[in-house]
Amino acid sequence: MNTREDNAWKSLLAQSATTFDGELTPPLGLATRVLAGLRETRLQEAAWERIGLRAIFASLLAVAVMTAVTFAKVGHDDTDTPVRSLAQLENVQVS
Amino acid sequence: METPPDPAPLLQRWRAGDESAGRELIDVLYPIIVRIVRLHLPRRDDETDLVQEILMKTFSRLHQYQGTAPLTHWVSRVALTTCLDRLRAQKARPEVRWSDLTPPEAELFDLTWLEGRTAGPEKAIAARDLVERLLAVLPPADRSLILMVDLEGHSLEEISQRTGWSLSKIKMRLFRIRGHLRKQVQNWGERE
Repeated sequence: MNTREDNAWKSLLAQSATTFDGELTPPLGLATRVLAGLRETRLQEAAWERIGLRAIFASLLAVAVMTAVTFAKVGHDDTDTPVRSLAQLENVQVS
Repeated sequence: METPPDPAPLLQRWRAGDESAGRELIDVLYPIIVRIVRLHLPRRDDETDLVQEILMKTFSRLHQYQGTAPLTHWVSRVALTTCLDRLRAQKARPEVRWSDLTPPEAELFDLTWLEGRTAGPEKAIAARDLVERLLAVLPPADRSLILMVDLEGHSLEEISQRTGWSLSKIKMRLFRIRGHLRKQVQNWGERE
């Protein structure tokens, strides 16, 4: 803008300046809403954390059970007479 | 004017779990935040919602505040970036015609631009409306920038620190903004 237009623009802004001022005190209930919102967010985060931890423990438990079952099954299979050679294999009965 | 209390002790109490310190902290931060919101938000309808959103964001991020800058600067930055994020979704109007102006706005334009005079404080609302009409042709981020420079009187370095924009980008934008405003004023001067 040239100088005259620039001055006019700045004068207009100066005339409107008071309308940009905000109130000095928050409206009634704002602090309560903000603090309640923060409390709720914290509770939700804590709940999600609990759910996450439970899910992790449940997964670990499932893995442990599966591992135990697998080892138990393998151990049980090991009690069968092992086939040590092809000569022995001929004696294995197939039902 | 009363000096606002130092927020640092309040912050310590809040961090120690004192909820009443949170209320006092909101009292201290509110005038700073509402001024930024009013400066950067063209429409005033969702002002309270935005102030609340900024306060929530500020409190939930307080653990990130290192204390290297004053708390009020840090909060101002949170408020400004939240406003700019909100403005990103809004679009500039292609043009505001002379016929779009209300009689008080048109009268004030003639008084200010054609006669070079200043109206009294009773015209503050009309002046604000006319400012908003002029700024409506700008993209929202440009609107914020010109107000930070011409109304708030911030230096380009300060704006660069607050927004993260480079100095050359700010200068280029200001040049473009003043061009837009000049064109709009010329159109109104010719009653187009």
